[in-house]
Amino acid sequence: MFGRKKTDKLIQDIDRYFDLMDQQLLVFKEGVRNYLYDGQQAFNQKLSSMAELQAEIEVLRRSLENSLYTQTVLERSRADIMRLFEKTRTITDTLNDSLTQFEIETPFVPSELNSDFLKLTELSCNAAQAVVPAAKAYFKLPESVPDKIQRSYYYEKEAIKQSQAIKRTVFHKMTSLKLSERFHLRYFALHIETLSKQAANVADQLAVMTIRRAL
Amino acid sequence: MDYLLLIFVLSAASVCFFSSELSELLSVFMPGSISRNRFFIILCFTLMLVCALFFPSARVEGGAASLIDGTDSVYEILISCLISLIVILSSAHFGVRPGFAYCFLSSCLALNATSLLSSSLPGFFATIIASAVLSFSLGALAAFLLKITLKGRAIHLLKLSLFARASLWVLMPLCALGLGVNWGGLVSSLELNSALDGTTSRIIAVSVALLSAAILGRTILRKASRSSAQWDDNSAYCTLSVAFAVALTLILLSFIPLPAPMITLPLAVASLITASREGASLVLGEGHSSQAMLRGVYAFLLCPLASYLLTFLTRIQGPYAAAPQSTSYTVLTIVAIAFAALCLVYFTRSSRL
Repeated sequence: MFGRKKTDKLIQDIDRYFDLMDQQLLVFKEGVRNYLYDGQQAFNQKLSSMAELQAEIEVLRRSLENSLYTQTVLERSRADIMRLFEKTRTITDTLNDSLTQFEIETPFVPSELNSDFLKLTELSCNAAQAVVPAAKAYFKLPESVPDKIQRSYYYEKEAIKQSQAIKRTVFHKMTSLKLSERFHLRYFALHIETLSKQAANVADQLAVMTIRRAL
Repeated sequence: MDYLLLIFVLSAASVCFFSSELSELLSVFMPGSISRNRFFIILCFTLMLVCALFFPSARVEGGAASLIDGTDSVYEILISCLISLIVILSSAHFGVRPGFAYCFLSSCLALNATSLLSSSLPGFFATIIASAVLSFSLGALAAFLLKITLKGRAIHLLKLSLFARASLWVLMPLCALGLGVNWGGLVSSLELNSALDGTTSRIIAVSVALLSAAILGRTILRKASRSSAQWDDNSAYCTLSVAFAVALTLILLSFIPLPAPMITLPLAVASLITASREGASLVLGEGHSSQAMLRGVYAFLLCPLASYLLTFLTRIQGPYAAAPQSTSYTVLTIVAIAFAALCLVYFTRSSRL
């Protein structure tokens, strides 16, 4: 009665949405590792996994947005939750687009930069991974959100530092590279760094939402 | 002719009631997706109609009915209804949501100014103020109870939403019952004033109400949906507290014997909502829209005054004009000055906000 089953389904869908986002982050991390260390076949597998996850997450988000409007009495929180989904969407889109761009543009990454790029990817993914439990906690235990999002801010700063270090190395030390190659590397470093910034945006959104939800 | 007159009166009253009181009440329940379930709305409407016709509020004789019973004929009630309709429609243009109840009763008061002013006015104001205070207190109490019950518990937000939604669905029939019982006194007074027998006038009343509801149904829902935007800044707990406070205020002030000088009045839902929302927002620590609050308060003050003024003017110059008396002119002057002052303050404040 009163749509209890629908609500249970909605709760499951929200959890599933964030789980899928978490899986996308793992796939992205693995995909970049495979690209850098010549695992072409494994990279292609990760690319197709990413496409599947992206398709599922898109369908799920639309369904969630529809259900949140029609089945809930969340006048004040509804807009916040929608904004949260929109901001997490930028993360999932960036993950999908970045990995696809690796496949399309096949950037030349000098072997001495492999570990730096991998570290940047890990830091950015960690920043995004930190907001997943925080987003889940917003629905169940909002008081714990501020503690959880601190990790995201930390990893964002570290990712920016790492990205700057890569750009500095590329432009100051690797003079043998053509300018177009340098630009290309900067562009990919920037893409991966953007992921951490988007994660910090989600963390900011969660912080505001938690304050508003406080009864 | 009597039939036609009663139909006219009831039609005007129905339009006023549906476009003000009922749509305001429905706006509280709109966030609960109630508009999607037409069957439930029809059920609640039927409950309200049955309560209004068969279980009108107690002490009708000494309550609002005395204002209507004092009128000379059904023609004067028709004038009051039409004036209320003009006030409601024109104030809606400025975004003010007036209560039909107070516009109509102010108009009736103007018709009976000389005979009933001294006896009914204190009761009229005492009841209006008491209803606002009671609604405010009940809103605050409900919000406080919700706050202490839910604080610190790890309940999923959507489960809380489900609870709020289910509570709204339970409270809606209660509100319909309260509104029906509360306004029943006025309906029975209309019947008493007509020259027709009770059964005939009831059949006419039901037919007019059903026909009006069928014609205005979509408009009411659209208006309620627009009004429900005011809840965007409030939590579901605030909406719940308001629904609870409005239902209980309507029921309490219809059933319990009221101490003197209070009288049983049909209450304006918009003013009850404004008062209870302020109480609930205060306890929950939620920000409220100053604009909405201002509009609520001015609907509470300006519209009855406007209605009073218009009726008085028709009484002086119209076909049912009474002999002008010095008391009437004094009251008219006071009301006109108060009206002008409130208008001035309202437009100044609105432009600042």
